[in-house]
Amino acid sequence: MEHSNSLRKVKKAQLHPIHKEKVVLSDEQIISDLLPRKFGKLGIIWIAILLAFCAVGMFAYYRQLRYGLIVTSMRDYASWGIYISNFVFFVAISLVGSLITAVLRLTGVHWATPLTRIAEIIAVAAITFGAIIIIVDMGRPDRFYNLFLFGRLQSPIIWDVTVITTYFFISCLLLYIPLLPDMKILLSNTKAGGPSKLYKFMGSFWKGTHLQFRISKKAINILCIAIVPVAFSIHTVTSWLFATTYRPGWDSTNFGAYFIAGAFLAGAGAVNVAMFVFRKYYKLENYITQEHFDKMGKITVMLGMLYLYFNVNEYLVPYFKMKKPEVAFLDSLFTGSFSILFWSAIFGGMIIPMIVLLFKKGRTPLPMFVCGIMIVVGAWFKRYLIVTPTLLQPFLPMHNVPESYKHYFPSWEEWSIALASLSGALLIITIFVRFFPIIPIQETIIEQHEKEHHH
Amino acid sequence: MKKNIIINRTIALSMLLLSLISATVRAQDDEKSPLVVNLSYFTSNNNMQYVAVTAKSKISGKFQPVKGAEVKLYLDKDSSGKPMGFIGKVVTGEKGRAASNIPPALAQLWKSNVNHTFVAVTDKTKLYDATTTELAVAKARITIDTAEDKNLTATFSEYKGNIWVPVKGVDIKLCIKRLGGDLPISDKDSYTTDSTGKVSGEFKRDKLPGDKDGNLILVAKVEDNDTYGNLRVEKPIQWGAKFVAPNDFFSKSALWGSRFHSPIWLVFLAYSIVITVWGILLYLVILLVRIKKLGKQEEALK
Repeated sequence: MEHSNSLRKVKKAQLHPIHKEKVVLSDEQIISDLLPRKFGKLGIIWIAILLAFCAVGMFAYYRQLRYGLIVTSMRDYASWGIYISNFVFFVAISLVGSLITAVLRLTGVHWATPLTRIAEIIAVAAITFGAIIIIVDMGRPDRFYNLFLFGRLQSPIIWDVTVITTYFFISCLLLYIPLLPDMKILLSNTKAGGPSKLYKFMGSFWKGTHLQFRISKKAINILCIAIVPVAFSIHTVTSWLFATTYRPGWDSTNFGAYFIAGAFLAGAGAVNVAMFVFRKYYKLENYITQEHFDKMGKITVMLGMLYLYFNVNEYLVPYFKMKKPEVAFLDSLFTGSFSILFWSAIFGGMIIPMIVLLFKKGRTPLPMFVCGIMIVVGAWFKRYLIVTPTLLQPFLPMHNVPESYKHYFPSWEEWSIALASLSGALLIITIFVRFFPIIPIQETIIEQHEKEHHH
Repeated sequence: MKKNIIINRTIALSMLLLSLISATVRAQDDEKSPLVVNLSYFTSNNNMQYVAVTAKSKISGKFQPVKGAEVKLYLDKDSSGKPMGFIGKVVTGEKGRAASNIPPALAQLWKSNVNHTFVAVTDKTKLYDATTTELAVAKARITIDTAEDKNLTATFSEYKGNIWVPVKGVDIKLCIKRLGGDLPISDKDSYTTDSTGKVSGEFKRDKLPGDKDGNLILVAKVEDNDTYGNLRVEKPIQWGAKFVAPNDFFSKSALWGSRFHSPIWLVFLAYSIVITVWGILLYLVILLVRIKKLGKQEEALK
């Protein structure tokens, strides 16, 4: 029996999980609710803002190419600034794809189905700009090919390039294959021309046969298994870019696990924000329910605690020992020039959201959104605190160097490029939502049928 | 009662004393500390002369370098005592130090006399009064001679009436130039010239690595001499051990090896992982192609 038959035009009943009341939704209703829509006024303004940020960033990058990295505030000591912290942030955020899609799917958690595509598009957008921002950090991007010509297998940078490419490819597949069944729905509900050409190109071959479903299910299962070690690798290897270097703050055996825990928290925060925005803008209250916020809230608290645990290990143990070469570094974080940023990231990006989300009222949409923003912003600054303060506290004292070498505050070009990369990632997500359903239509219909059958 | 009065008076007296002391200290702090400018003369390899200036002042009770002090440097004075040849204007750096070469324009003036006087002038500023510092120097040179038996002889002479006259009693250091400074050629720190203006020392650092041909740089120098300033002469000599670069260091199969010398275990591990993962991805692409074929077959059947 073809699964497309399940799109029969019969009114179905759905038990709303939180309100415990029956919400009757027909298949047509689901399709019409979840089909991508043209942007309203707000959407157009949003895109205009993102494009404006991108344009300023492009101009700043032109200046960087024209005049060299001297337009940045990076110098001999702080040679990694917000570009690299932005890269680490993007890699971290991208890990959420593997958490929501793979880990929850493999453990048989079905409530997360409406969130899988949100997580996957965040992952694809983030890893795309993670890769781009690395090239931006290069003074001579035209020499990028030398990395492949002369790269050494012993270098963590080569491992990072390999694993990012792999993760990007897997994430694209994990976004694309579950999208195939929706292509048929999109094609039958879109007028000829425009997006329908795109749908035809991407999925006109999907007929919804039993065998096609079987193969796609197998492919998704394989992907879900494969993405977990690759996701762990991508962020572990990113942490090794730092941890394989003998410097205060980076010389840690804890770094791989610390980075992964932080990445899951940042990704969960991003999903919480996206859930709220999509739910509000597209009026998806029947699909992204209170239950989703409640459960995502609990997951976020768990991840927050995990990350806090690693932070305690990462900072408290060196603080207890206070090894001579690390004193200046730790002092700069705890009481020195980075202390405001450090404690804001710890409390604002971790402890306060965790406390709020411990309460049931905290796990409702608006507080979840606010906490999500706090977590994401905190995560961005946390990456900055991992990258830069270490570089400004070398083992040997800075002698006979210009004053500008001793401090780092990003130039306007760096801020613009970093903001443009964040805007670019948001633009990918926004454009995706314009053409594809952000909640899987076919899966929602099937799950509803299964639920009804179960009841 | 009387006891209380005594205590009160003692406290009042102590407070008065304390305030007087603090007022005195403040007044001392407010006082303008003079700018102290020192001049030093250097000659390198008997042909490059330059003059260095250091500026310091008493800040918070101790002498500290003064950054940004503008100093005008002159060579010699005229009969009225006015500075003559303008060397240049320098600004002291973070360590209160600045230096200037003697420009070619002053070559004639330099050659015209045996003895010279350098003059450093600073103008009056908001912080410091104007200063003038002088340094008199006599022209001198050092020459180095080496013998087969690794003996080094340096001769110190002064320029007097168109001839070079040996000078007795000048302290000379004989060294080898190294990366972090100068290493004495033997255990003796310095040598004093005899009546012929000569000093001799034996090179006792046979195993000292030089370049790939065993070249070392011998140094003979006079430091802070009241009459002649600072002189330094260098001469390359093949007295060192030949430095043989460990050619196989980067060609070993190790983590620090060059591109094609990765450790075997790493090559095996990395390629196994990459082949496995990309093999799986290839299989997934094949599955996608199968889905596509099935769709086309279905369409053909209809």
